[in-house]
Amino acid sequence: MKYKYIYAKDKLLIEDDCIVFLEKMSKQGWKLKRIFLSVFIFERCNEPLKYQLDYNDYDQEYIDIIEELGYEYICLYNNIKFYCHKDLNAIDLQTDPTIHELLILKKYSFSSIMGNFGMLLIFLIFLQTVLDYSPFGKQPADFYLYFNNEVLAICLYFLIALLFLQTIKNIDIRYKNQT
Amino acid sequence: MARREFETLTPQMFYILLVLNVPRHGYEIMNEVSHITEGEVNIGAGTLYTLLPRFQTEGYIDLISIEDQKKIYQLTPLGKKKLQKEKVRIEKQLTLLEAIDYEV
Repeated sequence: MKYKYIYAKDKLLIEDDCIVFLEKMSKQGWKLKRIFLSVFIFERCNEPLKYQLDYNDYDQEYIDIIEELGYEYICLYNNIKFYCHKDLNAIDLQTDPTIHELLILKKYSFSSIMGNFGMLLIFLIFLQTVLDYSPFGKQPADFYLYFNNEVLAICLYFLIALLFLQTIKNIDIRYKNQT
Repeated sequence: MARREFETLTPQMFYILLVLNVPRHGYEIMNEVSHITEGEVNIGAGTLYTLLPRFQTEGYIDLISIEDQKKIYQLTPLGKKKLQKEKVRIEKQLTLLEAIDYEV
């Protein structure tokens, strides 16, 4: 088997749990390749790895230093960068718990969660506008006339569901990481 | 009342300010802290690059130059004052510890 797929469930909620899980997988010979829609995709590896999650979005100097320290960038998921290191004793990216907590709370800040709700509201209003023109209750022949609206409505339903789940997850992460 | 940022310094914050008595860039700061504390205190890259702009905003350090995309910082008089305050705080803790006369 070349790749392994594992649904994240709640492994992405708490950083430490996520790191423990990824390091356990590396001991079993699986290295994280990327994350897609809450599914971890692993590929084969020969050695145990140290993992770190990074919330910073700084300049080239910062990225250079991380690479100089020996960290390998793996992927970006939900604006979190995943890194691994071959040295299990490598220095963590975050060594000050106070600053670490501050970064997590900043990422999942109250205003960003409210922003999500705002977008959700806009999508709902847009959906309502689209549905006003949808062919429900009309003749089957009208279906072709309103086909584009139907597709748009389905896409909007999908986006709303995704955004809603993401918002709930962000609230969950924020409060689970608060000490 | 909410706790003010940098009201008390964590060891990482303290050592970053301490080694900036001479101009240094990020990687040098990390190495120097590890060196003077004999590896007891390590500064992660994420921690360092979160703290540097905040210290700069507070006026504790100044960005004095950029060489080869590396930002070089140095402690300001306000930063020195902050370290002095920290020294007084630590000395007070030591005095209290000695006054209690614990065998530590």
